[in-house]
Amino acid sequence: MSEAELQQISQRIEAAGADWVPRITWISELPRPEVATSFGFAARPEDIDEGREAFLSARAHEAAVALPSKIDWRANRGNWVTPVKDQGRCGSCVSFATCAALESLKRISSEDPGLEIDLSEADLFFCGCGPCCDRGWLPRAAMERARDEGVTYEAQFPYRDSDQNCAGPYPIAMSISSFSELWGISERKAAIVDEGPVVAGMEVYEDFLYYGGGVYRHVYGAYSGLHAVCIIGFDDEKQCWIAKNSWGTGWGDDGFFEIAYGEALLDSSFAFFSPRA
Amino acid sequence: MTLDVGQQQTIDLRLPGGTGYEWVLTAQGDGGEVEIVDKELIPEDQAFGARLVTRFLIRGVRPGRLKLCAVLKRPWEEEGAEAREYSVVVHD
Repeated sequence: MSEAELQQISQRIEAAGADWVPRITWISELPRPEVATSFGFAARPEDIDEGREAFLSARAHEAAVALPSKIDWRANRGNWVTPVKDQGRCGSCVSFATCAALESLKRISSEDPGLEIDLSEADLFFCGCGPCCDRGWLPRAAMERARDEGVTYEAQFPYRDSDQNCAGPYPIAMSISSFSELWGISERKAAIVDEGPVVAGMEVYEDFLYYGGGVYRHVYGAYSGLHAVCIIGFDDEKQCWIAKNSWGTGWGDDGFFEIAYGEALLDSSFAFFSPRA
Repeated sequence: MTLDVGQQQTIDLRLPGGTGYEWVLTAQGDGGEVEIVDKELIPEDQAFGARLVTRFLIRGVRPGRLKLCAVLKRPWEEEGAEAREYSVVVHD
């Protein structure tokens, strides 16, 4: 991406009335004309079908649910969110988002925000999915794995960002009793308030790589695939979810980001997955 | 890689999905011998984190030789994770 294109992102952010800041540390590019590229995307029909009933049911109850207007589990009478990690070059985002949610759940259920817990993304991903760095994974499958087999400690099976052999079973550090798939906005917020952080799916566009803070809205660039993240809160005043990514602390707001409600198909095409201790 | 002025050619590079990486194509010198006409990102699967193909479409602009370097990197990181080099000859 060239400096001119970065400037274009800034202009488009302003024109769209969006409120986030692009950032870049390294630029170089061949000269090329402006190209608008877009790709068709179809969410898995079974995901939508399965979620529709829950979505409609949840909407019917939304008016009756009383919720706070903001929660951020990093500052909710303590920090219940574990440090941001880096998935590197492997398509293991589902495992990182799931382990992030589970680690927070462990702290919350233990009523101890200082609890040291570091789950093995490698165990969940490579033992649950196999050599899936290129194929990616699905949040529901990760939740089922965490429920049925549990997840070990990072020290038992340290993560590397290339396909690894699973030599398990390993000692279980944590498992969950159940999980729910959430589609209604109020239902999602209620789960975050009552249970803790959840796993979400979203579309990634090229401009998301340049996010440096503020409330993200897609304004520029092509569709770049599906990504899973951990939602750690929401803010109704800003109309956004607060999320933990798995791209290290150098990206975004120290590895975290805010994304507008409904952005990147996050609220319309993909369920939130809420684990229970 | 050889192409004529006005001729187009694709360069396909596999991209790990949902990781923040992107392929950046650079040229030695001013790179005026070719231009990037298009850049496509083509998903290989619909799973979260599934790999994509980055397809650059380049076009010969003027005769000459140059080296194109494709670097896999994250915009917020200084170092690239992988690099590939292409020798390109553009004929009149």
